[in-house]
Amino acid sequence: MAHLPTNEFYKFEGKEKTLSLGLIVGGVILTVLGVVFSGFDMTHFMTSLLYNNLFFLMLGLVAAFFIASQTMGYNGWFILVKRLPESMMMWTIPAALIMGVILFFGHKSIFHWFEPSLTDPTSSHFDAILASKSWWLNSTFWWARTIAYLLLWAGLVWLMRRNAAAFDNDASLDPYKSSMKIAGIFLFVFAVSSSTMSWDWLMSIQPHWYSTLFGWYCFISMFVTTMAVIILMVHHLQAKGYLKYVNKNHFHDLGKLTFAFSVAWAYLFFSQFMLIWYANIPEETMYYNIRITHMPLVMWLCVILNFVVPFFLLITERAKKIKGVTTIACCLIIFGHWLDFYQMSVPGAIFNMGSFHSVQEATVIPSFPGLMEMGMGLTFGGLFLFVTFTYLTRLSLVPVNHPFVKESMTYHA
Amino acid sequence: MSHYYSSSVREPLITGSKSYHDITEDIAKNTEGTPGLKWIIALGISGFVALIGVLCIAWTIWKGIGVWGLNKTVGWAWDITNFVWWIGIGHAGTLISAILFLFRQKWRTGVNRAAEAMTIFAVICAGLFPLIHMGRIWDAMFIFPYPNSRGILWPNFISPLLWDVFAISTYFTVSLLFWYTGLLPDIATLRDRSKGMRRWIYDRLSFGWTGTAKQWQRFEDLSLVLAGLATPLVLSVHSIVSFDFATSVIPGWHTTIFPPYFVAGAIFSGFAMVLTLMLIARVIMGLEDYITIAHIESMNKVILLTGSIVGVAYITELVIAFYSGNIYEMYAFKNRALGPYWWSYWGMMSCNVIAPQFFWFRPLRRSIVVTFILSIFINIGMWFERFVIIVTSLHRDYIPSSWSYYSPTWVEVGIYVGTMGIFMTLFLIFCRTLPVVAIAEVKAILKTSGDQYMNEFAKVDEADYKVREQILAGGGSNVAGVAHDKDDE
Repeated sequence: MAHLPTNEFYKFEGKEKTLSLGLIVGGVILTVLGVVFSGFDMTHFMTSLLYNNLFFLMLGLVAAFFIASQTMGYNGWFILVKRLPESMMMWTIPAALIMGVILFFGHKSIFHWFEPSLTDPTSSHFDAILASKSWWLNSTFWWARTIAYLLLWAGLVWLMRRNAAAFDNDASLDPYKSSMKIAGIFLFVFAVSSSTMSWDWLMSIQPHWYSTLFGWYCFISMFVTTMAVIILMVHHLQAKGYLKYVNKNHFHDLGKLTFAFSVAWAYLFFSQFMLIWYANIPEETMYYNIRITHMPLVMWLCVILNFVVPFFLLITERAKKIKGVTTIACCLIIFGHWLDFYQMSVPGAIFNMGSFHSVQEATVIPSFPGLMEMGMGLTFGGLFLFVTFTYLTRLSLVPVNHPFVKESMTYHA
Repeated sequence: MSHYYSSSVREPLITGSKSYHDITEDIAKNTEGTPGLKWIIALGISGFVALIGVLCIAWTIWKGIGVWGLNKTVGWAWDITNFVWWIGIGHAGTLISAILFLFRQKWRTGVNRAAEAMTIFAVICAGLFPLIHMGRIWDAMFIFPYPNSRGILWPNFISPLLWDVFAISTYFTVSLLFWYTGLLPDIATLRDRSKGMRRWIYDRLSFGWTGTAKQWQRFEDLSLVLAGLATPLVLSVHSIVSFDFATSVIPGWHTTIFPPYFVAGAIFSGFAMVLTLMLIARVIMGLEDYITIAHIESMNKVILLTGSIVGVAYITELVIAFYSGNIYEMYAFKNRALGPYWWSYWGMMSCNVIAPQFFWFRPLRRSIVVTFILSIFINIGMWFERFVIIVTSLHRDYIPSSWSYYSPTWVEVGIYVGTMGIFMTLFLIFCRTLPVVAIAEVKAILKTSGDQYMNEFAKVDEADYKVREQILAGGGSNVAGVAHDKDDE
């Protein structure tokens, strides 16, 4: 039986600091270059900001979800890597703030249903479908929901972090007991808000289109990404000499989750796509029609990167334990899901706003993310890493007082 | 010191300080000796109910589907409702045996055997309904694609109903294989304890299992492969059942959330059925030490999770129907809640969404009485769910002149009740002839989860706690390493 672990503190310095700051600066430069080369379009710019921020916000939020779900499930194996999601989730709080700012300045450029003439029966722009949706899609209710999500998420993440910190100073079972309660509340709030948020911020970009599966699809997409990021982080920390108790079996389980939820993503992708394609109702098929016509590469690359690649790379137990294989798979998965968020937001916004402003002017839907999107992705990624690494230094990497810590240390198949 | 350990925060999964021999005795004794009076009465009743079902099925086949309450507008009703309900019940077994196996959940060992058996029996009951719904059951072979002498007559591969044939037959085959291979070591145990005719039968059934290292190695490999195959099947079967509805353009049926929501609902109802039966069986068969309150609590957590997923799906469907701006969608949902079948919608909502929420509270999840009552509610609620989806979506179609109301006839009621009789009869026979708890698998977790071993772990944890307190009081010097390196020597 393993002896008691000792506290281990991570130092955020040198290369990591340069890397995250470099990403932020490099990202900003790329974004500016992107705007310079391909011209500035407010809708395109704001929607790109929205989805890039949302991607990393969800990364933090789903990290919190991961902890909450594992806590509720009495899982012992993940305790040794628990500090990673516990630091990743801290990005949720600044990201929520940034989200508020982006939406405040960008909502009229991203969501064309904000235009009041659309729901005005006397206007020549009157849209009967949007008018019938106005009970849900109206400015007041939408802002109320948006603010509620941001406050609830930030508040709950803060509570979870406070609880995580309590483990370092309290050897009794009290922090464990309160972690259960917080996890329960978090899961309850997350179950509802993660779906409604995706309707409000992504689905309503194309407000005529609707799909009941959309919320779960976004969630699964982010769950896989979160797992991939955790695996990469553990690899990185181990390479630097930290987390020496994490063994092959932990990687096996993290790999299993990545594999399982990549297949789950494919399952939801197929379910949504097949049912819409099969039933062939115009107001539903138009969503995929835009994407298949204007950006087939993105559309199918998502399937390849998010399903085919992890499926064949990670199917065996051996592969899940090999650093090189999981690193490649995880990098591709993260890029794939980032691409997926791109295709969920940008083409719809450009299509809708373009056709709204002037039907004559041919709407140019980009066929692939450009320098601007990539730059923004790098900037937010850099910010995310900076916050994660900063918070990682604050608590012991090994939660030595957690009642399951020895189970995690003696973890074997 | 052994390398076995589990945190003392956990509860033991085997109580009563059992030895390996005790486990064999306790579980095997239920299959030995003459059956008790209670069992005979129970078998008599379920056999009688099954007989009613068989007679009603025979009557349907003899007279035709006209003896049911179906009409031109409502072409699917109790038959398909029962079919989906039974298929769903089977899902708990596969989830426990496959997915929880891959995720290394120890508590699955207490209930996996019985749950897997229920899967098989439930799929048998489910499979009856599409067959008798064909009307001309003697033409059932038309659903199988094989080179035939009927000209170019092939089944319609574009139809989800045909996908269902493949999905369910695959699911049944794999579940049966998984269940049976898992049984082999236990059948061998029974064989070794029996004499005469009994021994001869168990000997044949055990495929010559002797428990050599090589056999165990093959056994483990096979379990892993079958678990890997069964996992996508858990998801695919009910997804394809949902495609039967969702590929159509009928409001209330055509919605993209159906596949995952059907799967969650299936697991939800399956766990409810496992709990309903096992809460009774564990007492009658004296298995309280193997199916403990900790097992019940874990199952209730799965019920809470899947019930909440189903609840979120109901609300999603409702909100998106009104968000869609599609007047037919909106009407379908208004009609569900306020139309002539309002009682089934509210029955579904209260049994499936509200009932499981009680399990947020620990004392309620650990109460046998509450669990039993709620499990019955969930069984009823999940039947209502399928009824709501099928009948209320159909009974008022696009043309008001063809609106109708459906009520079942005695024949349909008889068949439905009859399948419960068939299910119970099979389950009772299973309880008497095969080990209801997986003997070998329970033995495998004894040293980590048996109460006598966990008491030892608790002492270690207690000592650790003192060291931790010391560290915290002493400002974090490395006392822990020093104190415990001695133990390891």
